[in-house]
Amino acid sequence: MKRAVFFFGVMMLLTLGLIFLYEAQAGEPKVLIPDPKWDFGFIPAGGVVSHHYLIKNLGTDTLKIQSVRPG
Amino acid sequence: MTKTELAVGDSTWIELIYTMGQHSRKTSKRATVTTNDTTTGNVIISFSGEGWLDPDTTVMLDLNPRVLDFGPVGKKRRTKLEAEIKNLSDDKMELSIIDFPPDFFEEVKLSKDKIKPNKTEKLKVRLKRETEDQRFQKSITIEAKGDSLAYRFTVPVQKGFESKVAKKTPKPVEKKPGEK
Repeated sequence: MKRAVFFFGVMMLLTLGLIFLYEAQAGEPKVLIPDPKWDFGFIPAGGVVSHHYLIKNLGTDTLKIQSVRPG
Repeated sequence: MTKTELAVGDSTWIELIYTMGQHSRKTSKRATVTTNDTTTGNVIISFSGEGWLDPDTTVMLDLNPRVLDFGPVGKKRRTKLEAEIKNLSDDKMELSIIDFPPDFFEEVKLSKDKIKPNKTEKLKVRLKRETEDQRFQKSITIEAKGDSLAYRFTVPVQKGFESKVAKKTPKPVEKKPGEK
């Protein structure tokens, strides 16, 4: 009986340790937009222009882009 | 935006599209990017630009045409277009392409990277096969630097959209004396 309780205790500790390790490794997302400002210079009046901004995840968990809103 | 979830170390692009009004004023706009990175919080991206009327006496460059328009979708396919850039200043200008959409065009190049005063060089754009049948509104930004002048200008490139940029007014042909 004592042996079973001991074994159960060790298993519990191992499981908790693994969960803790996983949580620690999962970490946090980290957003980086290296060049957040762009200057088009002169734009022909009435013309439509576009620019691409690079967005990186430098963190240790998945980065979710929830929205991009004007203003 | 092609992806909304980025794995660790991954990256993507956010595209902002802007229509310049029929004016020559300076404009700046911004957008807020919200992610699940609560430590950094919201990130602001912004751009600025200035309306370029035709003709314009403040910019010593001329661009013709002002929009590279590949025409309607489904019609006769054009895959290459050119725009002429004329140096109206007394400076020799150095040109460089500083921005165009990633992985979209097959080729974006200048016929020469220097323009002498009153000379013309060409911006050449060729579409990728996979973009030939798409509707799109993109642009190419060019920097021009001389000894005393520096400009940055952006050339709209489009297909399948109506252009709101005024077409160049043809120059009046000067008549020789005695000519009817």
